[in-house]
Amino acid sequence: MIEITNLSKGFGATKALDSMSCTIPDGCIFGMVGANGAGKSTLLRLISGIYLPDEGSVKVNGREVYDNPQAKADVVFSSDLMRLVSSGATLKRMAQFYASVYKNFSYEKFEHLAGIFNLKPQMRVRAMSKGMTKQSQTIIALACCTPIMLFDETFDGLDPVARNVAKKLLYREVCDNGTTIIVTSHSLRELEDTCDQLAMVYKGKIVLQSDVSDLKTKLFKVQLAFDEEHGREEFAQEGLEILSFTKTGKVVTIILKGDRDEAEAKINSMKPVLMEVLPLSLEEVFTYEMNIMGYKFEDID
Amino acid sequence: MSVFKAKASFFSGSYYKELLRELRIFGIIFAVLQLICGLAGAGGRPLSLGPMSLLMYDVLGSNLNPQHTDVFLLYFFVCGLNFVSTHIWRKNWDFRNCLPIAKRTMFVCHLAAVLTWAVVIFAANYLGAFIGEGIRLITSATSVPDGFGMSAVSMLKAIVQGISIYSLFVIICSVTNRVFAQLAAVGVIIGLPILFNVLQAYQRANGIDTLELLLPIGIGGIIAFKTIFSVLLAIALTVIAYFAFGKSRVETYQKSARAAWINVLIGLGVAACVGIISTLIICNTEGMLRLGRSEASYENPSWYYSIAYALIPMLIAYFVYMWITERSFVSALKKCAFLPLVLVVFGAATLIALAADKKWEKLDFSYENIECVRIRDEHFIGTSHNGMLAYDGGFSGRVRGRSNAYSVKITDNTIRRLASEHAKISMYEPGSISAALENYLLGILSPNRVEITLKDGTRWSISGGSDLSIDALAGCEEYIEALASLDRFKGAKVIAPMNFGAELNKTLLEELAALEPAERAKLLTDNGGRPSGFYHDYTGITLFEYDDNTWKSDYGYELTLVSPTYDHVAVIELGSSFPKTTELYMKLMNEKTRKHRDYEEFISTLKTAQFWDCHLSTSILKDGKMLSNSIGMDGVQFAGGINGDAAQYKQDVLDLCTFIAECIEQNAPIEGADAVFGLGVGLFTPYVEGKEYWSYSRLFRGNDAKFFVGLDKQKAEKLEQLITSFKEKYMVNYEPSYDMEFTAIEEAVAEGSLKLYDQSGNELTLDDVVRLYKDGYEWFYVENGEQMHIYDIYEMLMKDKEQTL
Repeated sequence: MIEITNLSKGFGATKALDSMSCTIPDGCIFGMVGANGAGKSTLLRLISGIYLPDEGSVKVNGREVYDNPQAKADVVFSSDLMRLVSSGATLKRMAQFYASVYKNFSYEKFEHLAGIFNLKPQMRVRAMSKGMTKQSQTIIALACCTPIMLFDETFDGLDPVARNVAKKLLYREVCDNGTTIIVTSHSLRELEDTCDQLAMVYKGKIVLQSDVSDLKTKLFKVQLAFDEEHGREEFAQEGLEILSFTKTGKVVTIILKGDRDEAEAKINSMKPVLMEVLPLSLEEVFTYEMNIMGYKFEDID
Repeated sequence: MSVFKAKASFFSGSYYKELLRELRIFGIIFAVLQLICGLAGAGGRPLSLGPMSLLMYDVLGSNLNPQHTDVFLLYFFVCGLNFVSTHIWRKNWDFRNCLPIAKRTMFVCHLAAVLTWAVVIFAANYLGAFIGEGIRLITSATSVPDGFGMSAVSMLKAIVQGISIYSLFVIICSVTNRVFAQLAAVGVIIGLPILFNVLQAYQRANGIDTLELLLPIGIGGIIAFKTIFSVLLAIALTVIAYFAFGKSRVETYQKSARAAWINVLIGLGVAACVGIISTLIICNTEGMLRLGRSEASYENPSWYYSIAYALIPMLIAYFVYMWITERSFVSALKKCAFLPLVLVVFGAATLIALAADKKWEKLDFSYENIECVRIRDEHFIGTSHNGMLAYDGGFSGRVRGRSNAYSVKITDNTIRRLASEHAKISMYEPGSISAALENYLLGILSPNRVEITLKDGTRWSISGGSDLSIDALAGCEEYIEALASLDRFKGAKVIAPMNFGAELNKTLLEELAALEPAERAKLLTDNGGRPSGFYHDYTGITLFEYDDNTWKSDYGYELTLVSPTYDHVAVIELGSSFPKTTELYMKLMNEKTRKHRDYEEFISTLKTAQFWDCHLSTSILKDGKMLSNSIGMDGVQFAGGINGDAAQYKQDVLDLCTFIAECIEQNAPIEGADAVFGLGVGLFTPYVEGKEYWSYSRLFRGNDAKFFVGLDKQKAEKLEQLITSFKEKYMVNYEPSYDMEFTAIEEAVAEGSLKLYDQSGNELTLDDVVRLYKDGYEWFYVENGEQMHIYDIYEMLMKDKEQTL
């Protein structure tokens, strides 16, 4: 488990993280979304022990992580930094380097994953395309077999096929080994079908954190048709939590938050001619949630 | 915030192996460089005319002198840079620090990997030295085998210094993040101690080393102290680097140093350096402080007087530094409050100088209180190139032999009186900045020092001066007696490209022992008049010179005698003083030469006169006297342009060469022959396709073939006759250009008012002088052993005549 408590980190006048707190449970894929400079990479660097927090703490399995080899042994950080192993290094050389510092590194797994992505271990990292570099970073991190894996912008630059393969690999890693994975991205759509939990990072703070399935079930869209016209107040009187209300003649579209069955029962009591419950995309869910909190989604993403 | 302190392992084997792999490029490059140094001469000294040295000289057109110590210093410098770039610079910092290894463990592993490669580099030097010696042996190039032990000591010293450089890199880049501050810190760390040393030296009024005065442990103790100090310094810097890197943080943007006080400290260092430099420059300009002063009455200005000149530049330097690094005018202004702390540096320099002077004032250097004086032989020789001390080329400290291996104890009244006078007026001479730097970095003390032992048993080393001159010492019997002692050459051996065996060593030492002490002292300390520097040759190569249309040969057979510990070297010139050694040497050389694979071909070329140019020298050693004769010949195939009958010329050359070849082939034993001839035969470009100038150089070490041939009286006379006849017929007559001068000299020799000698010190008769002059010799040895030109001898005679009148 990763516990982040009142974590702050600044670089000169710039405050990258501002009293951030959150807990990331074991065995989940935790997605972090945010614009450039929101603080996602800084948070990953703090979790991987690169930076010393200015304030607050980052604990990995109960241990402070900064300059703590035991705690860091549980974490592998997959990022562009990996190509710095040495100039002109091959993929195999990268693997050897990580094998020398991570005790559980599995060459078998490495070779298997390289085969999946059709990467040759003799390839020079410098000669790889952006997508291939990302693939290499991903398989090296997975082969390290650590309980916690951090992936920084991993899906950026991957083609749709490779992206799906990568997502499946992460998913399988969590299922098979109970690994905790943190993935960052600029795009919510990238993480929508991969993550168990999602967090929105904005100006050094987590402004929203939730279980993806909860988000999707708690918010839903209902399209209704009535014989008579009904206003928003009437629905509110029924005790429904309305996030959005649009009316076109006798047809009403409402975004509701809460228990779906309970809401359906309340609406049925108003005797609609037609009622249809529609799913929301994660992006829509985030938009409405952020609106509730006073943020405008377009400001964030 | 509180940070949970986890116990990190001190060392990580797997990370160490990884770093060994990362550093392998540097390791291999520097090992190759060190191998070349070893090839050029263990210790990197191109002492000999070995092929490697020649190659470097010819190809690069300069005296390239790769030094094993330089290679180590450069290696550690590069490794320090490597650590900084791979572990401290921003991107790599992020990369390394997300690995499950503590920062301090990383430092330890990197240092261990650096040292492991240093061992490999060290071994490469020895490997190169062994290969180099092998090459020289095969190619018959000459060299002095090196003292491997001393090479090891100097390399270890370089490694210790290298560790300090490496650690300094880590410290500076760990405590400072910006390049400007880092450069300033490097400048302060290197510059401040040197400048401090110079400043305190200028405040002094005596010529004894500060350390020696304040720590009365003698000169040996000081050398030991400096050695221990450099080791402790390396350890201390390594420990500081270990903690500094552990505490370092790269993400502290916009800060020059990790902590504000560190930046202030660097700023104060900058101010102190600028202050001292300003003091020295301004005061020098004013004439108040002078480099290399020598007047005893000279008064040093007090530090507070000196510092007044430095206040403004110091203030400006400090303020500018703080302004640049703090990026705030107001902040820089506030930090100026710390500036008075610089006065501590000036105060400390003055206090040390005062303490040294106080101690010196209590010492009684009166003549009566001086027990004895010890003078190192370098003082007498004036150079360390020869004499009793091993030649060290002046590079990187002593790589062979101990620097203080031999000193002469003198109780002579005159010398003690001179020492007393000298002690009173001698001044401390810090010398140039480069010397100060060398002293600081390498712990080298000036060799030009005289050690005075007082009645109370204390010893004081004073920088040498002109008062204790070579002339004064040369007149001191006690000193000459000590120099003449052969104790230091007990078990010494002759160094040569081939092993001559113990018999030659023994014979030479026996003949040395039989000499008069004064003569022996002269021979053991004489540098033979050879030029110092690159072409320093240690074995007997006959030097031929073509001058005034004739070939000359000094026929000086020199042997280098080296003590078993390599502390002492003497270049002994064979001749009348060493008849047995000379004869044995000739015999041994003959045996070696005749076994050489090129010998037969050489004889064949000579016998058929298949060459372009040839020069022939003969020397006869008879009754302990070496008489020389020489001629030059054109090869028979290219005899055009000769005055007279070309066909006859060809025949005469052929006759002469065939006779010489037969003499050589005859290989008569030297023992029992009426005369021993040394034949020097040089064939320039033999007329054989594919053979060039150097064809026979392997055979003869140098350009000339040298044979020692025993001839009976009949053959010797025939050879003389053939040569004389050839010279008369074909060689351009030598026309002396100093007839007037020589007439005066001839008269003086005939009168007995002038005595001339050969190089062996034998007095020349009038007939000898005339013959040599007609043969083209213009240089003679005069009574004081000096070699003078005819013109100078004439001038000397004229002056004497004027004085007499």
